[in-house]
Amino acid sequence: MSEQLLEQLRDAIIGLDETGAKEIARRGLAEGVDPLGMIQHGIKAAMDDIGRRFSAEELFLPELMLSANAADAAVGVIEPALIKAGTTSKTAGKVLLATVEGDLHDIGKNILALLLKSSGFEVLDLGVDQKNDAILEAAGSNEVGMIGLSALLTTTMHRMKEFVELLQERGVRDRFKVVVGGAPITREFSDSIGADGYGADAVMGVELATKFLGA
Amino acid sequence: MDPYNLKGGQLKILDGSEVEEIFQRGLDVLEDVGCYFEHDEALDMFEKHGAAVDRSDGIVRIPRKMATDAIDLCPPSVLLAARDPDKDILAEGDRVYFGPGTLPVKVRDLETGEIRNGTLKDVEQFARLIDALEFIHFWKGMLTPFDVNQKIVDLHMANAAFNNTVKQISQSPFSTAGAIDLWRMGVAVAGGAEAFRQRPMIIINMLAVSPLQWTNENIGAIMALSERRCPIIVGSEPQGGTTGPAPLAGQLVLNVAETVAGITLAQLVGPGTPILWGNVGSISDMRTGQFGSGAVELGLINAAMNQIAKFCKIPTYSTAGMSDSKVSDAQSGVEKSLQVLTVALAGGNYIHDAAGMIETCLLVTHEQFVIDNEMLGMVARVLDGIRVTPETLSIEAIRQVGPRKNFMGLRHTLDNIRPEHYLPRLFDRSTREAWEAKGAKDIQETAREKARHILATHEVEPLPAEVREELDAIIKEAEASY
Ligand code: B12
Repeated sequence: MSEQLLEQLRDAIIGLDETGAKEIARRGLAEGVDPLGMIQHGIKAAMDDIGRRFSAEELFLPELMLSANAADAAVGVIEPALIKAGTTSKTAGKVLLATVEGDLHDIGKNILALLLKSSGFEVLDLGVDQKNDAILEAAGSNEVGMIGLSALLTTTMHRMKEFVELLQERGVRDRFKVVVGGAPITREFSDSIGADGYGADAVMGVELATKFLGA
Repeated sequence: MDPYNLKGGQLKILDGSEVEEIFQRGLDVLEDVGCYFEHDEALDMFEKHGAAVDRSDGIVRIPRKMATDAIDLCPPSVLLAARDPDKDILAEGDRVYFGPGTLPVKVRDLETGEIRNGTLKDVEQFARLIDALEFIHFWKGMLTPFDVNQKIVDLHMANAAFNNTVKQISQSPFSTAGAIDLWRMGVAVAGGAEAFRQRPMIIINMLAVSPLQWTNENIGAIMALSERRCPIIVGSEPQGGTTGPAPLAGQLVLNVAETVAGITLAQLVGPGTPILWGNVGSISDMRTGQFGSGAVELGLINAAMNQIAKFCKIPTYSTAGMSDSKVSDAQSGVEKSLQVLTVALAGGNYIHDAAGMIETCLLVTHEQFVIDNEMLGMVARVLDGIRVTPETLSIEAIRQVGPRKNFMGLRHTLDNIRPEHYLPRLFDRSTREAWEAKGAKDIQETAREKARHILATHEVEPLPAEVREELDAIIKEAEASY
């Protein structure tokens, strides 16, 4: 396996170079570099590095986003070869995110989605103002492992409590890990409603996903 | 210095051609990109008046002429009446007024120091505190009470405000129905709908969701309120880098487009509705996405917005005086003062978020209110400027004293202290020895003592019994119907 090519691939992603990343991935395939190796030691390694540096507040949000785009593009090039070889690039796990009913705040949730994606999780983002029923429905039909709810208003945070109750009523409480966040949410609140975890920021959200879904 | 006659306008961040450029590019955005309106009746309204409405995606493209006609319908001077007419606010020109802002969720308990959820009693106390603090001109629903029905916190807060201060009131509603009930409360205090038109007792605020989106409840509220000619704050809160462009000029362009979109709807529904042009925008800290509430850019953006709105002859709802610090410390002092000074000098008419709040709009404390009142007094002194008259040039006094003596014994000195010197109400200028003898208290403790004293002694003229009953009845009705 070409160490040099893997390094170039990592550099392209860290350098936010989508075209370059695709080009290098193509070259790798042509030169017979192991596709799974490219994903793991090239793309994933680069994204781990990005994630670490973002957590240390050394990077800006657009760098997170643009590097993820470059990574996605390279994966897109490599994927067909993987499928042909009978393997897939397994994601770390599936997370559903939603802002609760009546609430339109989504900046924090969007950042969490971005960081989860760049940490290798598959993210199903339902958006804002989502009714509990719809959230549960989507979680069930998409077989997500963790549900992350965001609320920024004191007038909407009770929806989180109602969501945990809904899971209990339907007898599916054990099927999903439920984590909550947003400016007015506290650990005490999270404990009091019986959520599985609370994240004060996106980095903590990723830690929870890693803990529950085992990245 | 008369706290009800403060004037800014000394500071210009943009030159005239830049103001015009930003404004025109904002109108371009409305024409080319358009704005999303999540409300069928609003789409009908726009269509009826000739805007390009795309029913498939809810985007309205507003022709220039329609936008400028709406701007011209906005009254250049907006009276916001207070229960005590001496405390009325006249939002126009470069007049400056300060008030607190909006809806923090936690309070630091004045006695125990515990950070806890707010209660209705806290809200009432803050209203009384505001009533007593001379440089805070209005009430803006601060601190969300947890011990009332959460669907109508807005109504409970307004009720607490009307009962506990004679100063001017503004409140953010949580729904269209809430907005209408807030107006009804204002009407009750004014003494009827006609009296309210003459002396509107409440202003209600509406923000777009950046970028370029007006949501259902807020559109409903704008339409209902402008039908009633109730004063409305129309504005937006783009955050540079996340929900708005990173450059400040681009953010101003977006604020023009979003605000003018809202204003156009308001004026189509209710021509002549009094409007304040709002901007609550700041930057996101792009390392985390966190809202930069104490960012120095917030002051710059708001100062520039004031120039643009004044160019349109629309009074402003400005933002300044926020902090991301968790405590009342040097960080909060610097962040707040810089923002307030910048925006006040730009002539912000109705400057909210100017008192009481820290921790990125999440925490309110009594001591911060008292400290900010002092800061606002100092800013007011800057606005008052330097009067240059034969009397203040002091030639006679200088001649009289001559070289090598002093000015302490002059009548001229005595007569000019109050008009010329700001006397701190709180800040300490004593020597270390004297300060230690008084207990070596820091500003937070001194401010807490003052707050306690105000709460123990300050009384507010109660509302007439029948008005109180009317307000209670509106709340009771809402309690049953929401
Ligand atoms: C920006 C903003 C808005 C924007 C939202 C734009 C958008 N697209 O999201 C606009 C202008 C639309 C808006 C509207 C309103 N807002 Co607002 N808004 C804010 C503000 C200033 C910043 C929020 C933000 O984006 N922060 C930056 C992000 C990165 O932080 P975050 O959201 O907290 O997310 C981080 C963590 O919390 C965590 N996290 C978040 N979610 C989750 C989920 C999980 C699972 C996990 C693990 C972690 C996690 O990770 C994130 C990243 O680190 C806050 C103040 C504040 N300090 O929160 C007020 C605030 C939340 N808003 C408030 C209010 C009152 C309103 C309005 C009612 C005002 C009005 N009358 O128009 C409306 C309500 C609209 C609605 N129905 O939702 C109040 C709430 C008060 C209360 N009682 O609850 C606040 C506290 C401000 C204030 N004091 O007035 N608002």
